[in-house]
Amino acid sequence: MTPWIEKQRYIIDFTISSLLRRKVKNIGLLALYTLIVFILASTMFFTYSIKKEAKLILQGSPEIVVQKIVAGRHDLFPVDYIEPIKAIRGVADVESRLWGYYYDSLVQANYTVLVPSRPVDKSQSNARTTVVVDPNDPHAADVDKPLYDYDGAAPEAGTIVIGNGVARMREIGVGDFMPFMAFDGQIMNLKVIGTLSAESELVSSDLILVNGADFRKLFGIAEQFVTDVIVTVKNPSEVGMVAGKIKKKLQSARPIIREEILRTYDSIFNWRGGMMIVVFSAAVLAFVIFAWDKASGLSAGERREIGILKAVGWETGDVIQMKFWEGAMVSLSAYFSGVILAYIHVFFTGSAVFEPALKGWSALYPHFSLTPYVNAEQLTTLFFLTVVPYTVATIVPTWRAATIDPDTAMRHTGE
Amino acid sequence: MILNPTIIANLLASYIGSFMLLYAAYYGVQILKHWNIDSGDELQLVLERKTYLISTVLSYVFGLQLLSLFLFIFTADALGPLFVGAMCAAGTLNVNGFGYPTLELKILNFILAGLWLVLNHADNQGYDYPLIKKKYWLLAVVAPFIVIETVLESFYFLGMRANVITSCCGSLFSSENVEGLGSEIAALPAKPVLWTFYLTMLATLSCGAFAYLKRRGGYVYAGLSLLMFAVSLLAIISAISLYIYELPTHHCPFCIIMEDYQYIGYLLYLLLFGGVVTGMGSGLLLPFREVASLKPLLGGIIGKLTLASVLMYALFTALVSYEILSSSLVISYEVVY
Amino acid sequence: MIELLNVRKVFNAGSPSEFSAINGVDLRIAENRVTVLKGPSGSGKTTLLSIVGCMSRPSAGRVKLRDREITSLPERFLTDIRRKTFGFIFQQPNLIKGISVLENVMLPAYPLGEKRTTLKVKALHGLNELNLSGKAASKVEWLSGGEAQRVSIVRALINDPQIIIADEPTAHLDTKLSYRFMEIVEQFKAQGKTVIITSHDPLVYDSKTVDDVVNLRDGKLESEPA
Ligand SMILES: Nc1ncnc2c1ncn2[C@@H]1O[C@H](COP(=O)(O)OP(=O)(O)OP(=O)(O)O)[C@@H](O)[C@H]1O
Ligand SMILES: [Mg+2]
Repeated sequence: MTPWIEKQRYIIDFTISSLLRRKVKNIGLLALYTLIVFILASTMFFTYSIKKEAKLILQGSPEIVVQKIVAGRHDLFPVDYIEPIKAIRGVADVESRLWGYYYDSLVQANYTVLVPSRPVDKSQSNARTTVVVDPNDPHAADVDKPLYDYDGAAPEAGTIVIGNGVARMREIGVGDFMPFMAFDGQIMNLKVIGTLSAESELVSSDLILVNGADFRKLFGIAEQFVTDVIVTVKNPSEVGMVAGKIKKKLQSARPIIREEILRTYDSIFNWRGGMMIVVFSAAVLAFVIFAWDKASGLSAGERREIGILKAVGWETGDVIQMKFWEGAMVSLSAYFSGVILAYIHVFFTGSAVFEPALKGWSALYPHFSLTPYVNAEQLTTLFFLTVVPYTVATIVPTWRAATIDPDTAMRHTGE
Repeated sequence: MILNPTIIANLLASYIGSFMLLYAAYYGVQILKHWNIDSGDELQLVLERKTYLISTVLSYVFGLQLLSLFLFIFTADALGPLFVGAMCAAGTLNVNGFGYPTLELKILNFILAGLWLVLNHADNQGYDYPLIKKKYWLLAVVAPFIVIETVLESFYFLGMRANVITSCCGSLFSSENVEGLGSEIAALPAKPVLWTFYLTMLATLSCGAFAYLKRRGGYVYAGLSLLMFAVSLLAIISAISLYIYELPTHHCPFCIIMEDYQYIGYLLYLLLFGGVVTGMGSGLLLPFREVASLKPLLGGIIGKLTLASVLMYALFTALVSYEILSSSLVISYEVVY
Repeated sequence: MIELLNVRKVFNAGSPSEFSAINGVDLRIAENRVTVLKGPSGSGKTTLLSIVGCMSRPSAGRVKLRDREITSLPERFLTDIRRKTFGFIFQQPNLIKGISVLENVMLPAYPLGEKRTTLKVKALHGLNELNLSGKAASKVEWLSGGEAQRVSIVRALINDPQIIIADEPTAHLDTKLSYRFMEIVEQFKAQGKTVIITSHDPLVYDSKTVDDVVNLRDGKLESEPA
């Protein structure tokens, strides 16, 4: 066994020195390889942690949301519907919600305007103001903080609390006034009395919290309507059953179950991530062709070198081993530097490079730092998408190089 | 289909593996057709060079097969949340009819590729390519299996629909369920299965030690190592997993590879796969002991393989025993869950 | 020691550029003697030498080394025999640029997996023998032609081969260095090694160290010894 190890050490040493001797050629390859890993890793880290973040937030979202649907369109929810729902067996509580989207033509952005219904500790669902942390999640401690430093009580009339994104966009802060154009064209000036914390900015960035009366004035909603209601169920396993009963009782109601949203989210993000990979697969393919070409187009110097090695007593298998180590070193350096760079890129610089391409669903995009989330699945997938194709692309060229005739060394004329 | 980066990685690995194997098999057939060791023709020289290519390709395929086997289970695990009722790989593999057959073929192909490498290694020790024809026949046999595996895997992933309702380890490997091989295995009483496991293991290990020391009974050992592989899988499902999960009713062979159990499953399966490949490999080489060019060396190789196999099975047993002893689960009553 | 029986070598068989470089050569090379293969350019000396040195296989015929048939051995066995039995000195020094003289010398021993310290001692000792001890750490590019050739000789000896094969060793050397080379050959002989040289340099084949001269023309032996 020992001679075998010693032999591998010799071969590795020689490989390193031969890689270093051809710096220029190898650095080009390494840079490109690292870039490919970097792009794929950034995409994956980004989509996976957004997915994770969204999941965490949804985890804390209500078990059932009930909307009213009129001819397929989402409509205001009559307060009269609440009592019949409360009467259903298994329902613990029904809370009404007031919220909507407000388009700010000044900065051309959509805000989410929300009326917190009541303080957190009094709410049955405990839902919208704190992230309910998933106890199985190893990163739970990182997010075990309120979603925003806010106790859940509605702001007083004439005041608002705004998310970070809004503050940034409008360049305003606590104490400033923010004008709104109400449904009837009237201008409402509301005073900012607080901003939401940066934690998990993904949901709170475009948020504006207002008083119930102000909300109704702004959107022109009568007292007998709310936006939708959330239903808390006593026994979690009865969620589906309760949703079915609501549907039966109130023809125009549409109950939405949290599990359903979670699953939909999951598929959407999977799909987005997958799409990205498909888009980048062209880049990977190009890289693989490049690697294949690099590996097959041995320079005269390299051919000569392999010829000499074989002439002085290296066997084809030894040269293949040397090339194997070479590939392993190149792959591992590219893989690790690509992954580390991507990690820094996504989690510390907020995906500066392709933020616009990846997020692109609102002009008002959160400047948030994602909670670092990398797991073995992502790393293995990356390995399979980059290292495996590279390695396979170099097998045949390696073998070609390794089977150079030893007697070519004898036929060399001149340098 | 569900477009997910990990699924793409799986399919890619599978297509690459198949492609490489077909490529190797193509040259393997050329070698079977035109091989003539006594000739100094250029054709013969070219073919001899191709043998290097083929063994390199096969080594990579073998590695890829092992990695992709784990990746496959891993993916199945990770996809769990997409399907109603799936908590781990057991459920995800069940979302359509192709999941379990793919997994089974993956295991089979891993073993076959390992056996091929054993044969190749032995052949390389002989100065007259003593096993060349057999080796390439074996390759020609292995190739279709890998292709079938790829086809099944494609059907499996491409046929996936989100929100499908599936049944997971809770019911698949449950003693309450009446149908299905999984539940039948799970329904086996834990204690007798453990007894069987330990007794067969004892027999296997002693036979292996005997085969190693006395150079006899090799075929019996090869057979036992295969039997042991099956018995171990069975024992994992029906008894060992209970101790690892510390739950008297959870019979899943997949959950043990999850983080919650310190990835112990990877080590267990690695040892098990290693044990069966080396054990069967030693048996595979036995018929060639009398080949002149291999005579001086083959005994040593067979011995080493047997030893490796025995050690891996022994380590597997030690690990399993440790898990059982350190588990807080006590099966004192006779399984009436 | 080495026996060739009716050896042929055909290049590019079957194609229009088919060329038969060796046409049925029978040759015995005796132990502990210095044999010179001589002949005009293109007569097949290098080709024959590479067959003798287990670098390539003949298209037909047999090659025996110490009564062992080695004609159709797989490459890995041929290589193993080659690196333990033969030391090669080429027309060009064929050193690898960018690494030190010492590493170049140690190169043939890498696949054998010898302990590094022993190998190093051996290499330094070899360099010392040929007055190169001061050059061990230098880069190959800095060596003079004569030094480079001596380094390649040390490299050929690193695995302590029984047979030394040299292809036109003096082609790039001036007269003085060529004489020096023949002195080294003399030493080999004194150590009991067998030496096979191709050359069309009279300084080599007329040297008194040389025991046998074999004449090659168009891939065939010319019968009378010179
Ligand atoms: N790989 C090859 N393919 C085709 N022809 C070859 C090959 N190698 C050598 N030859 C031919 O074989 C013949 C013999 O070549 P060889 O190198 O043995 O001659 P030589 O006697 O060593 O000549 P010199 O004294 O010039 O070195 C030459 O005509 C050469 O062109
Ligand atoms: Mg020549």
